[in-house]
Amino acid sequence: MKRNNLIALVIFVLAMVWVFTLKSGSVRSIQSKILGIFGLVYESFDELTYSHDVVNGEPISVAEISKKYNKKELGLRYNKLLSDLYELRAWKSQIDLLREENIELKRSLNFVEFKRKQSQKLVAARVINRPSSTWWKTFVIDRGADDGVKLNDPVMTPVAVDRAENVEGALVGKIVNVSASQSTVVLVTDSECKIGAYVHGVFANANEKGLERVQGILSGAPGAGRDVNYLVLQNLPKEADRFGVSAGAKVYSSGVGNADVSGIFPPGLILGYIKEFEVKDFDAVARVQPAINFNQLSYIFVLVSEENNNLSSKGLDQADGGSKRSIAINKEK
Amino acid sequence: MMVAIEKSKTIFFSLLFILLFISFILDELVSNILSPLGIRFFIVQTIFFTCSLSVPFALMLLFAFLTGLTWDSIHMAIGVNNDIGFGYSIFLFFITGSLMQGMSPFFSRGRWEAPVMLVGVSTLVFLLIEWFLISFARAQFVFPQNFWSHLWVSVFFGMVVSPFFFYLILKLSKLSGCSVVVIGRSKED
Repeated sequence: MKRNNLIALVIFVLAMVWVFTLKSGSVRSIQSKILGIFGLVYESFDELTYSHDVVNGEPISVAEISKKYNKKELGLRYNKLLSDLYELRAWKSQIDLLREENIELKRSLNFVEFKRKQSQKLVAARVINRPSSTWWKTFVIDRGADDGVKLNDPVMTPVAVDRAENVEGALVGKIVNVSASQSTVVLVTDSECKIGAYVHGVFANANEKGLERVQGILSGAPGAGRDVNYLVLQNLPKEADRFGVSAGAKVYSSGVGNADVSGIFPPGLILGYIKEFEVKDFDAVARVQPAINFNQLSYIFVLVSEENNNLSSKGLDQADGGSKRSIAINKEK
Repeated sequence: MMVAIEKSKTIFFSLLFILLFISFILDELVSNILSPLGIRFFIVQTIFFTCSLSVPFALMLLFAFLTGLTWDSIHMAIGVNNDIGFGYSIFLFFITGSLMQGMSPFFSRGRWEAPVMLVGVSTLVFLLIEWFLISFARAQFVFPQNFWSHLWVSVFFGMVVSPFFFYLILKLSKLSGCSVVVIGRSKED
């Protein structure tokens, strides 16, 4: 390599290193200067190539707008656009509300269809009275005996589980008082409402009968309210944690009944998620986060199975018992 | 006599410098027209490659530095963190310019085929190194849709247009009185 070329190469490498090590401020300054040189030419080319800067017949470049309108006209246009903007915002909030309602109703519709396929009849009802004194215990719905609602019928609402499109039935409570056109529902948050429940995906030790679900009895926590907003799952086996019961596990109704649990709740309704778990002397108790927000119940469904309809006379005995209990609850209130 | 030669060289190199400056303007115009068609033609690179053939190594380095600096100034976002550092194009122009320098004996003999081929190769090398540097900086090698087709179209356009610039350079050399083509000219004469 010639000596001159070598010197040129060294100078070039040094210059390159200098450029690579430039601070951002210096780079910006160089870029501004170079763009300043080419800027005028580029602008004229942009005008040549993008001469149609118009949207819906209106120019979009500042220069064109200032040519077309004077200051007063621009002020009027600005005010007009501003009022349009506020109107659109008002519409948007209205649309958001309608969209939410639409999603809720669609979910309910899908749920009704799903239950219909399971030969279960759902009676849609609206919550019409919910006194603050019994907010966490009962509410009144606008459906009664005339609509086929009977005592101890389970009440549920659709809820999204894991993801928005996966809708399941969540247990709200049961009917404790029926009149011709209205019924009273006792919520699962009431300690009087006891439900046979199991922890989803968890099994006890295998015996000769095979795997057994980890089951217990779910009820409202004593003193349920704003501060005590959880359910209690009792009578769990002491080794439940060893079997895999942990926070976040889903709790479903088991459909099992005994002396305390009347067995009126169908199996497979989601109740909530395990929040905390405590092992006691003879059993284990879990606190359960309800699957639904009991503060926001406005529409619910009363589940009237075909079997229940056919065996209405058989259910009368239960209904009597249930009504006695409901009277007792009402008296307590 | 020597003074006259030096003067003609200075005029010729100045004309090449102006040609490079114009190439940036042409690039903007051509890209505005061709971009909507999905075609990218690297006119600055093509003109730089053709100029690299007709100048000494030291001047090629100067052209590489100025072209790279201008290219990055125009095409890199101001005031934000870019994928690769400012000035990387200087290195790319240096590599490809050096590659073109190897073909200058052919060009000085009036042979254009090999230089035209090498313009295509240099465009390819330029774009591939640039893609590699960007991918390396992003720590992710992504082949965008139509990557290869866009690459080959750019290479093809460079090769198709380069004879025009070779011709232009010869005309400029004649105009300035600085002989670029030694054998070709002697034949012509």
